[in-house]
Amino acid sequence: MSSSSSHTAYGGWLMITSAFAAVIVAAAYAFSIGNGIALTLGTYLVLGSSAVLLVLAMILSATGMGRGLRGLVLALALIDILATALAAYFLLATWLIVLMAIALVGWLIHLFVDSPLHV
Amino acid sequence: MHKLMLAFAAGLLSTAVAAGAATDAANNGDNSDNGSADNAQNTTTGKAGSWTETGPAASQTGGGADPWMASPNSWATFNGDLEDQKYSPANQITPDNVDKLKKVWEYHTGDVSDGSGKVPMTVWSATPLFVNDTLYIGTPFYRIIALNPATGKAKWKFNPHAELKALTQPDMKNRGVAYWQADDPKPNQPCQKMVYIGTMDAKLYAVDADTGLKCPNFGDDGVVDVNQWNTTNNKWPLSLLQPPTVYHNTLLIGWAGKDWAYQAAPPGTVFALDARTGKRKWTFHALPKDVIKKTGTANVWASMSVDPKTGIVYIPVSSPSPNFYGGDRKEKLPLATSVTALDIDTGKVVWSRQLVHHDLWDYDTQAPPTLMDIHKDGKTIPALVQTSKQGYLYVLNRKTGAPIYPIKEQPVPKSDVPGEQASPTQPVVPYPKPVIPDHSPGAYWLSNIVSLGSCSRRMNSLRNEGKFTPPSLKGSMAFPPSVGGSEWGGGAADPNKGIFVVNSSHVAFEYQLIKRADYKQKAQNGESGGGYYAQAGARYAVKLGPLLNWAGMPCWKPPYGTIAAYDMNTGKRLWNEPFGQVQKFGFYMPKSWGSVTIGGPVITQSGLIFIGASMDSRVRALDLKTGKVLWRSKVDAPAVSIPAVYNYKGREYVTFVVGGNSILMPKVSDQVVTFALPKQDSDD
Repeated sequence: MSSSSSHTAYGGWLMITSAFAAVIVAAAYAFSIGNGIALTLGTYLVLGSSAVLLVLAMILSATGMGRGLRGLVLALALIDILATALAAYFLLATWLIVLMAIALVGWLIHLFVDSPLHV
Repeated sequence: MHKLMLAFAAGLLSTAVAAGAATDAANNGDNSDNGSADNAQNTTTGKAGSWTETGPAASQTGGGADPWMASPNSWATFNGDLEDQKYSPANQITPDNVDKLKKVWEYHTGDVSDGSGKVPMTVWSATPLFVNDTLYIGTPFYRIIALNPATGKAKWKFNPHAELKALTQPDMKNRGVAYWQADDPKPNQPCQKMVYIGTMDAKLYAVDADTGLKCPNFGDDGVVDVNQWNTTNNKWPLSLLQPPTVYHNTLLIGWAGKDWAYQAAPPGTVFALDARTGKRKWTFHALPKDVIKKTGTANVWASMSVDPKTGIVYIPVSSPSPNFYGGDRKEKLPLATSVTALDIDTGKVVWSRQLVHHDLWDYDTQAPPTLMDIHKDGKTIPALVQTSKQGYLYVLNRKTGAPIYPIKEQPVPKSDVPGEQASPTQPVVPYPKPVIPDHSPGAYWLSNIVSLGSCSRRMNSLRNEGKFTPPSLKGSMAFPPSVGGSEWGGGAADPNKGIFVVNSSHVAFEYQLIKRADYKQKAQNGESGGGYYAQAGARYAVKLGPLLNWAGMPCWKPPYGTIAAYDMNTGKRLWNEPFGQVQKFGFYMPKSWGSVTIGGPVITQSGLIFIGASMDSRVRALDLKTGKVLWRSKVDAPAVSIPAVYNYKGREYVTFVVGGNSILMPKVSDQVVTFALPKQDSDD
């Protein structure tokens, strides 16, 4: 139940950083008139999903969580990353795709390097 | 889904219907107190039941276009020229350097509404005019703004304080301004150069092009009330949304109305006014006198083209009212849904060709014909190319109206609606290839899966016997419907290469006639809203709208919009590409789907096509040779207009008006945006 005290948090912090940047970028897409997609449901969606990813990344970086819950949050984060990237692809929101790719790298690091699931 | 259906319908309401032609000389209560006072001098019955009235202003025309209009540097008319070629001899921006095109300025007029407040939504399709070293813009609030073409700074603004009510249209609409100047402008005298703007309530304003002050000698202190001539079935004002066509000292004015609302509507007319005084020269009537009490429209709501060498004006005449049921207008109305040539001095019909007999589809002739010479069989033929909602390109000898490529009278399906009698044949143009297929493309697998098969079930339930399937009580497939095919933007021509380019929409509608009693019942139950139109006075109301599934996806196969180029010397289609991208909730759909388009293309001598028009809020430059997109830029909304291409102080500019149109999507803007190549070091 308890996690290893020796695990690192590089992946989690990378996810937090990229998700935070994604929130800012998605907000810019959503409210910057003239970009072709501002004030649309699609941009609100990626803004919301980026914010959710930020919360999920913060939860993952927290300690004291059970394996089952951590696994669930990890799965939700992966779904969030992939769905946001797909939506960004159809929005032609290139920067958001890049940030989701970075978040995915963070997710992989968290899973295979940092994660207490593997210790 | 419902919103899109409404949007389509709303756009269609903007079109006016038409029938028969004539020239006359009636006075219709003209007011002698102002410049438009015109005690009619005589009435002449012309060809095909048309008639013309002449007014007091003298007509003297001929001798080619005015120098200010013919200048290769200017973009002085709605279509860039009188011939509707939308062609610029500019060649600074080329296929090789167009990728370097940058925004040099943008201007926001402030005249925009998303419809959430008191002012209806704006639909803005103005062509910017560049002439007199100034860029002139008309707005959907009917203001005129004069801009510095290099910087976008306002020089002056004119506000007529027009009523901001959608009197005939579902939205506030405007397609810009017109410009005129005297042959020999006298220095320091006002109104030697004038800019005109019309309003939805039928007022035509004229202001000084240098100061923006009203021209007091034009009409009644700078304004002509065109509605003074609206004397038959005048259920709504003659909305002046399309700027006048200017030829020498004559203003040619058509109007738009409120489609689908009534059986008997104002009958179609075109007015010729003196450009200086606003006095009426003549009025052309498209419908025979003996039918105008029970039908109407057959008006000219789009722009017109003029052959400056001959002084013949070519007018696109729309369909007669009621649009979808003709049981009470079975008389021959030969000028309805026609392209008609008028003598610009007299308003009399030179020739006319009906493009749809007994129109039951609202297939208004929706754009002026493009005048271009065709080289065929060793001869140079003075030709015109008429685009159409039904998707055909009619290529005619513009002096005689005779077809250059054959037009066949083809048997078409009969109507099964009691009281209706559809025409047994319709004119069909097999070559050049129509801009859209003759038959509906069938259900799209993706839409069908998403709708669990309802798309194919619905399409199969409709009467569908190809183009010209009449509206029916059970519902008929209309492919194309009244949104086209081609729309008011028409096409563009490179007169040197003989190439014609046109964008088009591939859309399927359902047309269903509703018995009057059933319609009344629905109205009582509050169910006669979106999609239902009264056609009041007729035996049937109508329900129509695009075939969409629950998710708002088109049920029919893509592409939904294309752009094509034709070699008019041979009639061969050179290329045909999906154009634009559908955008839903901000998401861009695959390029292969294309987009419904509104607005027109411009061709430059350097081999480029500039066009906005698509629903994805982008403007583009295409290679004239291949149709491939070479450059694109995001703008604030769909640029549903015709761009202006011009040279100012040695630099080529491309200006787009970005206004949006509820037909495409509920996205509006007040943006004017101008692009040019970066300045070279040697530039000043």
